[in-house]
Amino acid sequence: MAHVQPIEEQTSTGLNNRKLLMWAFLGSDCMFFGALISTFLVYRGRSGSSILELQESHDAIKDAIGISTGGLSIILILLGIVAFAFTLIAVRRGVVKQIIPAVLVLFAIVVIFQSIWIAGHQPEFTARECTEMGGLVLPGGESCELVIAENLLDIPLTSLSTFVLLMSSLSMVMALSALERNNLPGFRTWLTATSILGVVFLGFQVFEFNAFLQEGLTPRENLFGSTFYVLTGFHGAHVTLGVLWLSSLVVASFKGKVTQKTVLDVEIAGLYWHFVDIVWIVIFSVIYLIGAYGIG
Amino acid sequence: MESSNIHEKTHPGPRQYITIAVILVIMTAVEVGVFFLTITPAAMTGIILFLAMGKFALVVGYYMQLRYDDRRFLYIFAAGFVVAIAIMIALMALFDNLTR
Amino acid sequence: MAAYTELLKRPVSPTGVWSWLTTVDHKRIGLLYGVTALTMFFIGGIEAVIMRLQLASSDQTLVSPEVYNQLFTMHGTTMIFMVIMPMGAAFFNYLIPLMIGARDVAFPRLNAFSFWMFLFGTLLMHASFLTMSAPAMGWFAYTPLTSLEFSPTSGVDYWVLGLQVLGIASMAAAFNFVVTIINLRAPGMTLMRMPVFAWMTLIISFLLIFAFPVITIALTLLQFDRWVGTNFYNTAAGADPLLWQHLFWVFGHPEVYILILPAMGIVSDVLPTFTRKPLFGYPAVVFAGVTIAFMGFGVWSHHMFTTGMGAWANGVFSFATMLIALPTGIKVFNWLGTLWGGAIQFNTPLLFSIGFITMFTLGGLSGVMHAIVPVDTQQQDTYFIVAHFHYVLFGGSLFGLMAGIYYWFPKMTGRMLNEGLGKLNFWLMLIGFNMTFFPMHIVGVLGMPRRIYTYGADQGWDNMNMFMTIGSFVIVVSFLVFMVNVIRSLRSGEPAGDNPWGAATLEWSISSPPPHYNFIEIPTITSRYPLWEKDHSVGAAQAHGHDDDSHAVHMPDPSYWPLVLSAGITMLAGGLLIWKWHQILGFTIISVFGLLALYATYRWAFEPVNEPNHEEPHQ
Ligand SMILES: [Cu+2]
Repeated sequence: MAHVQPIEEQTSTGLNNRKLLMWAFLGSDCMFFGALISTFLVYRGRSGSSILELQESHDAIKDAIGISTGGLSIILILLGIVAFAFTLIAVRRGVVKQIIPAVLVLFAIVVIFQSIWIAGHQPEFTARECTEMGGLVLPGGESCELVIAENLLDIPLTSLSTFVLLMSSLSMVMALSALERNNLPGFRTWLTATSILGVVFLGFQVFEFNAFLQEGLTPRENLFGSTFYVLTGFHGAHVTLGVLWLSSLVVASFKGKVTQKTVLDVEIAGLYWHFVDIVWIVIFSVIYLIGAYGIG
Repeated sequence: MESSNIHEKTHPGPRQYITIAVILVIMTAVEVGVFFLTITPAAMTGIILFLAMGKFALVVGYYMQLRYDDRRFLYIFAAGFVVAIAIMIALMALFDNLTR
Repeated sequence: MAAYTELLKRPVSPTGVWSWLTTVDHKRIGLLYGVTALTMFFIGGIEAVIMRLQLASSDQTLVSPEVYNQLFTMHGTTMIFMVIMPMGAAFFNYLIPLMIGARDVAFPRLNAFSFWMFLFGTLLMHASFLTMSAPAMGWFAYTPLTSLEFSPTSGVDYWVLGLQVLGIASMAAAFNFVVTIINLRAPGMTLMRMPVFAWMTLIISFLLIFAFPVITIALTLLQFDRWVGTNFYNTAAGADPLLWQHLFWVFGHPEVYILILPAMGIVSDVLPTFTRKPLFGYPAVVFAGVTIAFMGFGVWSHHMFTTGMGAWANGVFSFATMLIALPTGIKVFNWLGTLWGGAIQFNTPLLFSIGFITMFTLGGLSGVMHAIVPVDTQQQDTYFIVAHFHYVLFGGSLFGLMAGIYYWFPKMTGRMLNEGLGKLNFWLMLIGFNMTFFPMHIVGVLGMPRRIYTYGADQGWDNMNMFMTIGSFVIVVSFLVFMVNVIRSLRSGEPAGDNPWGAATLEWSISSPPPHYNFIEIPTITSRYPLWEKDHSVGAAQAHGHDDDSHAVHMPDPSYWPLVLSAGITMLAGGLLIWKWHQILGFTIISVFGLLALYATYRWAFEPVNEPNHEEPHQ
């Protein structure tokens, strides 16, 4: 991030030194997260998680909705492939409008399925069933405490924070795009938005950590606690660093140190920020969704 | 020599960025939707991994502009990514996570 | 940047202590690395000699079992992370810009930062001796021995934090050299025209940036276990004791290539010079290096054959390990092919290179033996293993590095080392090395286990152990000869001239020692061996250029911030140590130095490469 570069370096490949450094760093960072995610996955299900219980509640929903499991998964796989193909074609041709109806249809389908689920999702454990599941009936006899592990993960809440981080990636590219067109106010607005969204994401994480601690899940509690806090905390540290970096760029732009000429500084910061986003895409999918469902 | 700016001609603009954001959100919504459905864990894992890979590719390809940028950036990043994934799979196999 | 009025003025003096503390010149950083690594070599060597004295005969009580554990732990850690790795770093720091025709590395301040991190990491780990609690769990620190329950003293803490700091140093250097070698080559210096040493540096840089993250995470998890009380390696909470072993060796196996590839690169550049012919099968040597690097990530479990991974895992990793011997064998045959039919000059660098090839081949062969699971099961944890890795690390890496020292010392200092003393050094070292380590194969097969502080007279290992101890003193004498040689040469060595060996690569086209800016005019390269070209245009351009004014060459200014940042980060680690003993004091240190590190990062980021208002310092 050396901002006062007298001349753009002439390099033997024509690639910028700092950009090459950033890509090498991101490749290396894959290994950091790879080792952490491996640890999480290797230890998954070793904290006495309530896999069976969740499975049973899902079974209950299946009975309620009355759609066969195989049929649903095939429909969804097809939908996913169609959406993906549509996306690729539309983006490649640069046409945007054609994809919107398809996207809306997909969105509607998901909303419908979700409403059906919410309607059908009324887990009815009797006190006996709860004890059978290895849980504890809490005072008042209305709730059942299960082993605190993967089942604590709050998918709706985390979906929201995932959305926030995706939006921050969007505002990051918008900021870059504005700076490329020498639109400095636009650049500042979008980059500020990116930093704020990053802070909001961190807020979600603090909220989540706090909620888990309230439930009694500490890093010492069990293997899930250890792996979960360290993995998501390591990602949170990346977000914090990114927020610091991006907000420094906003401040520097007021001092005239970030201009169209130094757009590369912003591009490199952007690469870092998007990487933090794609790591979250993996964490959300693998740790939260697949993890909470409890295959294996 | 100055190939770092070649991508300027072709790289996407705000409209495309917004489209991709919409697609990313939809894909996330589908993932969450799939999570709440009553399907076999294997099918769900498959769909979610598939969608996650798609989202990953979209962000890397368009937001990080790797699709338009110099191939060498891709190679250097892919080297780390592929080794990381391979080691993850190998470790899971060694700890019997894939068969358990 | 007109309003750049600062409390701390940018350092400008080209000489004196401050100039070394703030230098960003890759040649000075290379020398700093080299001197530090040699110093550490003597410390690690003293540890080894004490161990050999303790084992010289049965039932000795020279050191207590606890001290013996500390000795072998620190000997291994020192020799690997603080001697062989930084010696390689010394060479690639000094030589890579010269070899590829660049004036400096891509990120000079990052380079300085990597050296200071290395120095501070070394000091941090050795500070454990001051508190009489050196780490004592072996250099691979298997869990659960490293947990608080079984290692309650702070030895493991020093080890973990020291290694984290050293890891940052290695990775910073590796990122720098990836970019430098890809991006800063002179016109015409295609990848396939680079000296093999440059290729090997590129490969180990990639190995470092992909392998070190794994050990960093493994260490971080251990840190959390020891500081926060998490369960990563806590078997009582259901953790798997093998997780550490897997993560450690995922890093550990690429690490052995990080240790050996610089030596292979050095030998591949020394052989053509002293045989007066190009390296036999250059593309094969390069390709074999790349293959080794990739395959190196897929063989780690051969260190764990006896942990009960199951037949499938053992079979796969056994096969992969045998396969990885192929590219290594290719290199050995290429070196032999280079020697074959060459006009061989038996100078000291060549002797050490031949020593490297033979000793490394022996070590490689015992390595292939370990790839066979039943054989490995027999040899696991015996002195046979100790013999194997000393043949590859001492007989391999260190002989190669010694060849490099004898070869490039004239370039770095402008003085020749004495050939007679050099040859004496080589023969003493070769004989002493084999006396010390060859019998270890035999006592190993006879059943002598590793890491034992003594053994009974009834075992019948006395004579061979005494022989090995005598051998270790022959090695000590050989290094005394080396020191005498170096000191004599620095005082009154024969002046070297630009190219005393008649070598072919770019670093020999400039004066010895090279000027601050390396090349007055960046050369254009047309072949792999530019100085052996008939018209010899590269050297001529440099010679001609000497009269021009060197003011035209702009080199980056020195900087305080790499030193300040690395001090800040190291003190953060120190704060963690103090935190265990006194929480408030530790927390204060962590916050103060955390803020200092942050401040230094900002100052670094916004510091221009050159101050606009002052003239370039030149030597
Ligand atoms: Cu190995």
